[in-house]
Amino acid sequence: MAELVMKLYEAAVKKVPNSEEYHSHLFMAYARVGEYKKMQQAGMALYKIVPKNPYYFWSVMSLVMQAISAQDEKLSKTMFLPLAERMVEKMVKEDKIEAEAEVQLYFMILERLGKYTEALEVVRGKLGEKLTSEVQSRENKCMSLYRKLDQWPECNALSRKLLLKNPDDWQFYLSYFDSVFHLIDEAWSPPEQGEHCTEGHVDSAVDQAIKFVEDRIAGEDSKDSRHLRGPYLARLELIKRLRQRSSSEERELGNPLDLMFEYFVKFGDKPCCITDLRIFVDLLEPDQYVQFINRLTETVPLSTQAEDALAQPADIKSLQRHLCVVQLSRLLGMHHSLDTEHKLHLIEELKARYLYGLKFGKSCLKTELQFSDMYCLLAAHVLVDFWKETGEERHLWQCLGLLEEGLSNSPSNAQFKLLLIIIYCRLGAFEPIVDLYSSLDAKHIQHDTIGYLVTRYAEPLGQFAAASQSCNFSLRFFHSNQKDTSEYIIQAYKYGAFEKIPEFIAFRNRLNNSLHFAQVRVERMLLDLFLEANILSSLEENVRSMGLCPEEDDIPWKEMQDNRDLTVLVSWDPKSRQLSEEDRWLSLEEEILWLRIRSLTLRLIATLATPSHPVEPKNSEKAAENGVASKNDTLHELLRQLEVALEGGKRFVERKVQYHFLGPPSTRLTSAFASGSCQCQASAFRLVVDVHDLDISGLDDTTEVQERLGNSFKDLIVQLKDIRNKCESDLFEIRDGQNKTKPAALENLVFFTETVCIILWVSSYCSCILRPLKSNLQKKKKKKKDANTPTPAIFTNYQEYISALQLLISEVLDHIKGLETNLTALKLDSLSLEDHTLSEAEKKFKKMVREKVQSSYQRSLQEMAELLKKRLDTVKGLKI
Amino acid sequence: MGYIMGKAEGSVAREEWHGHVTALSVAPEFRRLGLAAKLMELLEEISERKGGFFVDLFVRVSNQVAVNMYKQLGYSVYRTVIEYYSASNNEPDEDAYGKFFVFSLTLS
Repeated sequence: MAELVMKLYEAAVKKVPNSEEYHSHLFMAYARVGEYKKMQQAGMALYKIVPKNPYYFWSVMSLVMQAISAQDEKLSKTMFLPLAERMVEKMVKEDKIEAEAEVQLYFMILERLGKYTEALEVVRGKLGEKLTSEVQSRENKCMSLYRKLDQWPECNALSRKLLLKNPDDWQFYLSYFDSVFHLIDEAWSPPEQGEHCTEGHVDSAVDQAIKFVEDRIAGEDSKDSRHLRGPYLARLELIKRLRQRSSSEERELGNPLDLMFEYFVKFGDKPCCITDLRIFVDLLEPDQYVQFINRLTETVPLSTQAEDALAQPADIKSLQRHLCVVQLSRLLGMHHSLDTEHKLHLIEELKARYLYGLKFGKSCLKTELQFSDMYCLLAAHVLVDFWKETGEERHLWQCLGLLEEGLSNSPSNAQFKLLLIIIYCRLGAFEPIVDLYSSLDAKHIQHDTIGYLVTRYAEPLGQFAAASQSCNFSLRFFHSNQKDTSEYIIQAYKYGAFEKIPEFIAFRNRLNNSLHFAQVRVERMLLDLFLEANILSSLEENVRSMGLCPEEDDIPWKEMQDNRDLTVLVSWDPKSRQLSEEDRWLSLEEEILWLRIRSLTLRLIATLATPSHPVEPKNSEKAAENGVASKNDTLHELLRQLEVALEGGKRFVERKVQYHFLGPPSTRLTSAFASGSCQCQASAFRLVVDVHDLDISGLDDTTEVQERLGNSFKDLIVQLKDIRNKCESDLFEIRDGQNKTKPAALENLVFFTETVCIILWVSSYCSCILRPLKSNLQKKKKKKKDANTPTPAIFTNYQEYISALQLLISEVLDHIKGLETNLTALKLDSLSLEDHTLSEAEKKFKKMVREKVQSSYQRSLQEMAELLKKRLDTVKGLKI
Repeated sequence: MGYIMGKAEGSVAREEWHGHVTALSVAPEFRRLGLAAKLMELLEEISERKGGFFVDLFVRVSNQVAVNMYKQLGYSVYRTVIEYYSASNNEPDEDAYGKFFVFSLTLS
């Protein structure tokens, strides 16, 4: 389509060479597809017609884009960029620079050329005055250049000046400290006379830095109006850096415990106090933790209404203070070190505080969070800790009930929803996630960053309809990205937002190369095949309509981008339990391993979709021509890659990697191997090689192959039965009044179902080959009236195999029916169970949660039974 | 923590050249620090630097929290409109349909 538009306007400008309008459209048509060279020419052509600056600079920008996209970096630096630079310099010399965007473009060129000194001159000079649209645009550009040029005196002086203007601008404390320490290490000292540097006064010693920070603090202390947090935090940051350098001067700034205490006194009623202080808790010694928390607690005004009652805050500010202390104590590991009794006590206390605090939020809108929400979340976290330690599922159930109660009082609390999603999925219940995720109202890029929470579990827990839908949300976003980005780029040219153009392009690439995108693409295709291939339409039709080519690998393995937000769930866990870099790497490694296996599986399935082949298998030489031979090559190559991928997967599984509860979800690798489905599917694909041989060489010279095939059929049934055995247990039981789930049984049922689909497609391929062989043989026998030659065993083996398959699938269907019956029975049973220790609300939510999980299991079982029934119906067509 | 996005628009000749607040948002954890006011102040500064006569913005009538905040910052209701924003495919965005206040602040 875009090509047609280009051709249209190319023709138009040929006809009307002086049309500004046609040339503009032509430029935009090129911009849409990124034809940079043509854009450069179109821009200049426009400029010749109407000498407006924008047209000239469109041409310049096109050169910059050629530089950015050039494969050869040398070419960028020696040809495109210098040419762009000269074009701009011409305008500068002729004093024709008009717009801010033109200056930004000039800056961009110089920066990319590494001409930092020249860039600095531009920004600090007259042209730089045009940089007005972004706050502190000039200062930020100067700062980054000073860093690149290692001009630490200037970096320091500028940071200092900006901090004097705004003592809350954190980035400049960082550059101030960075520069001071660089200057110290370089043993820099200011000149005897005159300015320290072009930016002014420089601080180049620790005592000067200390004085600077303390002066800022004094400035805040003396104010009547709102105190800024920056200076106080800067003091702690300086201590942190001095400590890193083993510098004894840190003591001059004060004792971290006292300073953090003072910070709390000043800012403890703000929600950001915890996020501020948590950065500096490492400055405390472990033996100071208790003292610290106690001191903080003493300052929080709580009062008791009655004897033995919990002391509660009287207003919102006190509540916030208390909350901050609780969060800090968790951060310092004090929740994790409690024994069972105290943990239980803590949970009850947090719940009580949560419920009490609701009174402050009576007038909150539905879109606002309750002030005491975090107590609820904290209690949930402690319950999760408890579950992790003891393995007792009831804590997770209690947690679910508590979170659902919290959500009912605070319908906009995303953290409640996210944690609910994680826990429900852990218990094998996907159905509640549909509404939860929908209510999060995730938009646009969030489909990429948090979509994984949903797509990881939908299909693996047997909710195929929901899985299709959740894949669609993500896919729609990724596909529209291509189109939308082109439009953004066009707008950027129209409005001269040149700086944004490379940003948009980088953004588009980041999304195209997204891990999640690749995963959802593959899983969506597998899902469609599982649900439809050889049911509603043939495997061939499905593969064709997807445009699936087994020879092609469209996944950008080398450029893969992991865009997942793995810290979207808030956590106050101590550092040792937080997401580490290693966790991120391991998770990515795992995801890529699993993706490779799934992608190869998809492509192998595609090789099964054969167009009709020559009936005469004896023409082996003819058959060895392009079509059939290369298909064979593809099959072998894919199998080889699958073996390698499975080997890699197995080795990863052996490492028994575990992530923290709030960390990345594990992939299906471990459970796939444990169920036996990986190995079984590989066996099925290997079988195809032998059947293919049979196809090429016929029955006569393939006794060995036939024998091997016969054994493979038997072996496949054994492996499939093995998977079936792992689905045996009940999904949901109630023991001693407590819910007990077995999500693994559900996951294994899904593995069984997926494997059955693949085996049936392989079998369909087998039947396509064997059926004509059998009927040819029978014809020959009839002709020769030769009833004595024994029928090759392969046909009986195959028939037995198909019958065994049929039986196995119906047995599993019966088993599922049994599971469904048990679940329904449980529902009626549990109505009579009453727990008198719970409040009315707790009972209500306990019931709600159990029903949600049960309903989800029933739905999963229903969807799987439906699919298996349809698959069972296709088995009779496989008999030969 | 938070962000503000704005643009300059309107006819200079008709003295309608002004700054417009496209979006303003502060994360819940960073509320009650005066950040919204600070961000608005920066945008007003830029608008003034660019020669704008006033600053305006759209707020949903039902968004009490935002309405109160802008009033506190010195903005007043200029008009009430029924508007809908279009999504990226140029179709009306259901979510952004509704009654909006247009708040404005004259720049010195």
